[in-house]
Amino acid sequence: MEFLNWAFTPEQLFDMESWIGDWFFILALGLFFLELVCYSVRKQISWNLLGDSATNFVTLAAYIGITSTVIAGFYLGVFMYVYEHFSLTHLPMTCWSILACLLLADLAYYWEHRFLHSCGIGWATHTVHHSSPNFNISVAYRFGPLDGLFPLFFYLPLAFLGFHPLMIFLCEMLVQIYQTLLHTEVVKKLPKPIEAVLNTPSHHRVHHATNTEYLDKNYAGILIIWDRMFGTFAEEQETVRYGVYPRLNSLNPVKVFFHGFLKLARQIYSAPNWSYRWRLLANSPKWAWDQEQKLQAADS
Amino acid sequence: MNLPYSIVTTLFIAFVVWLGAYVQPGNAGVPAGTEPRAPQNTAESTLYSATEIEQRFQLIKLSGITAALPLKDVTILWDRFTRQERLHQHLNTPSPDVYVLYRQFSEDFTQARITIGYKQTELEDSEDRTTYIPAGIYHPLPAPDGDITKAWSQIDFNRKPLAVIEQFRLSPSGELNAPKLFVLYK
Ligand SMILES: [Zn+2]
Repeated sequence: MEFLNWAFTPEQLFDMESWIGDWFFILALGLFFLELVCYSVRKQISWNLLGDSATNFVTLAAYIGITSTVIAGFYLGVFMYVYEHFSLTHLPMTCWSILACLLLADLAYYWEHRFLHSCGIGWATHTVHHSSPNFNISVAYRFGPLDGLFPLFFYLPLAFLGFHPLMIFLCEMLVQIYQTLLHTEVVKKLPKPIEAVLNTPSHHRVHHATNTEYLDKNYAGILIIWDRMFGTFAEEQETVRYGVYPRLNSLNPVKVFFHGFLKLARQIYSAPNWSYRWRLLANSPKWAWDQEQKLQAADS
Repeated sequence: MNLPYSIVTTLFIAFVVWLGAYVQPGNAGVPAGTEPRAPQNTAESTLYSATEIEQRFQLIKLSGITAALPLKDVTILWDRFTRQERLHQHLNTPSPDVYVLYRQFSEDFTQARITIGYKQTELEDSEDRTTYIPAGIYHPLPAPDGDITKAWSQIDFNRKPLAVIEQFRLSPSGELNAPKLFVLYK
């Protein structure tokens, strides 16, 4: 257990993060290629699937564009500022701290993800990720415009607790990487003990489902125990139908990338009053959907 | 679990995990922003006891110049450092500490990445490239008669040092006084 006391410099953490991030992307591309091989063996490959995957990578490029130019500098600045001025302590940069940081980053991920599903403004960006009717590694890279912004509010408390910002970013990335690997239909179910503790492709398929009993379930990053604990867990039983309601049915990357915000903007524009507008942002997307159904019923 | 309970549970878990990180071996639990407990600059404490005193550099940030060099060529870096006019002009204290940080040693410990700089808190603005001192428990080594090479000779290279820090007090007339040496082992 000696390794727990290994110390790192911020530069080392930064280098580690870039190294893992870059190589993981290559690995993910490789895995995606293997998935495509599986699909073609099963004769499930189609132009639609390929087009959808291409769209996913275009949203990735757009997301990186927005995040790296607008959000990243601001993001690091805020974290450093909190760490320098408001943190309870400065925890040493050891493996021990990284483990603690990773556990808390995973918990933060759970809440951020739950948030994205529970309010209109969060859903406007996160719906992009869910709007694919497919489920493969490329879907993990399907991002919405503000997917880079919301983590700020959920991971910032870690800087307040005294974890170095670069350590937080490293852990954020590790959770993200783990999450990415879950986006596959190739892996059915893993051994029981693993399915009990860790998030798995099976659990995450449920999260991407439109089946009613699967809605708003399995928000976890690495550990599924958060969902089990907080009552948002569902087991994969009946076959999953992927996507969002109403269906997007588009391969146009621009449309895919902005459709959440476009829809929200339209809803806000045609809202009857300001309190309704506020609730469009703060209430769950289910609420907005119910209101629209009521309106339509009243119209007809 | 309903939402309020879930949130309370989350806060509790966060506290427990944070506590685990806080009491980890080797964390002296120094509050943020406090200075490292450097031995006082008295005649008595310049002669360190043979037992290793724990010295912890709490994420000191340095501004200065860095280069990967053979250790014997450190004077080249010193020459460059003395010519950093802009840096010296921004000092906010007449007798600052100068730090020399050695890290990323080569296998045979003849080369290292060396930084000479001031602590950013002793500078007016710190727009220069920041170098962090690796956090950890440093062992001070005595420098008898102010001779830092004697301190170097006591470094146990078999224990694979990760970082070595020389600390000097710069007098207003430009002399380097009160040398101290700290080493961080793996
Ligand atoms: Zn989701």
